[in-house]
Amino acid sequence: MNTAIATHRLTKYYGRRCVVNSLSLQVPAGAVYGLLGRNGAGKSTTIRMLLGMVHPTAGSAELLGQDVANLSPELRGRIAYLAEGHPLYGWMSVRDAVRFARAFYPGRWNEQLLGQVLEHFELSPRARTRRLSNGQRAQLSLALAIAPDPDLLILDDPTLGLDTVVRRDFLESMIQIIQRQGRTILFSSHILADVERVADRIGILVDGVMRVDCPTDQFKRTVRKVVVEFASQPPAFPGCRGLVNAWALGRQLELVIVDFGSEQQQVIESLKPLSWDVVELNLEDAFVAYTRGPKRSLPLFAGAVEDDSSTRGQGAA
Amino acid sequence: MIRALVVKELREAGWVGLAALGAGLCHVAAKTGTRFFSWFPGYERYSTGLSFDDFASLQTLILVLAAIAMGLWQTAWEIQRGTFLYLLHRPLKRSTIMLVKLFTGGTMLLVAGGLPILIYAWWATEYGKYAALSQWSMALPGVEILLTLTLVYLGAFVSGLNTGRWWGMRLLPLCAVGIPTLLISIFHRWWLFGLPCLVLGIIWLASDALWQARVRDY
Repeated sequence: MNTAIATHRLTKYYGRRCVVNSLSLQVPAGAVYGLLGRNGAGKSTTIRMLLGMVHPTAGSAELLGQDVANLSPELRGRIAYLAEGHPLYGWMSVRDAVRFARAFYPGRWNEQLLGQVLEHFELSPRARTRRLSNGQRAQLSLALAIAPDPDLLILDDPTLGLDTVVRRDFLESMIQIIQRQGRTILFSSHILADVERVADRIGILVDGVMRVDCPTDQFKRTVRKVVVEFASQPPAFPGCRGLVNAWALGRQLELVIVDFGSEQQQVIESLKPLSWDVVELNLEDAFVAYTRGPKRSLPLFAGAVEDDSSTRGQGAA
Repeated sequence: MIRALVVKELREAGWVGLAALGAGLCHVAAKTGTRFFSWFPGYERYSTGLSFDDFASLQTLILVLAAIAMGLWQTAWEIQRGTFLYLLHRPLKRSTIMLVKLFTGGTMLLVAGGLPILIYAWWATEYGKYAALSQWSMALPGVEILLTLTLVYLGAFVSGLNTGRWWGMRLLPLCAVGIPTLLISIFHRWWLFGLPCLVLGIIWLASDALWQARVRDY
């Protein structure tokens, strides 16, 4: 199996703050990889390190088999990158932006594909990019990114700031492009529905640490919420293998557990609960459970219902 | 590729060059007694003597401001807008992209600053314009200053790339070039001593710009 993206203990410190912590990642060629995480989790920094825009404090990364510290222009030409916010030169018209981008890819530029995409998005060649909406800028950026027929696409939160309809349209176009060419795509997002629709593998960054790296379906299948009912105040949960999060909610104890099985069942039953129930989580709930940490809702709104003081810390998955 | 980059830089930072050229030409018009430009500083209706020195002083101020604006616009402004992420991902060496920026910006400044000096010198040396004798060589101090000011441009360019939490630290290269620029511009035998120092300064600052562009985070 060829590896399109590989990182080895990639680490970045800004001052004393560790933004990305010892990230080791393997993305096979042809995969669509969704990099998830909350704001400030380290997604953009990771992507920028992959592209040589940010220098890692430690560790290394390879794209298409080449160390990113010395990415050659030829290899860079095979990698498309959509930066967050879709930066384009505002004074350029769509035609200027195409002309400018095309100049860097002699022999690789697929004018026919670009024309089709621009026509599909109904982007006027004369429109100034500064006058385009966020959605149109995203569409133009995507069109410019795929025109050189890249082997690897790296997209930093490509649907950020887009409304639901444009987002869906953008993603469907992305899916078509993926199906058409079978390329490797890595994209970051915190919109779970987007990831669920597109990615066949996900990674979840929590405070710079890669907590999950597995196929999307496997993640949804293995993360479970267990609701344990007690006659009175729930006891402190002693912990078990695969525990992600545990918190008390009135007379209930809610647990998020990876790979729930007989071992975890025994621990729960040892607490002598009235009843317990296993609830399946969708990707969004599983993601929230994974990334939320000990803080839950604001005490102002939750005081009557939740008992935040009994919230437990995160466990290891 | 290079042509696309040059065109982009001309389109993007050209306004600085045009503004400097416009101000310089207004200055020339005022110094040559064009009545319409009587509002411009340095206006002389009936000039009685050579005034290359006067001309050079205001022209220097215009060019210093233009050099700072050009250097910062090509770097700090591009970083601020996030377009450096787009630009630096083009399949070219980072050093090539930066050298094209430097070459284009520097050329724009030299043209914008040199043209008014040439026009003024041409006007002054024309028979009958001045009571005193005037020669092309009298414009050389202006040319020397113009060339020396490339250090200010490079200092601003490096400052735009410089990282630092505090603005003062970022602007350090720009502030630091002030004294060498002043010293080089007042060398007595400029072409013999000033020019080699200037070339060394340009090489040093351009190397620093390339190094900053390579090691900084975007």
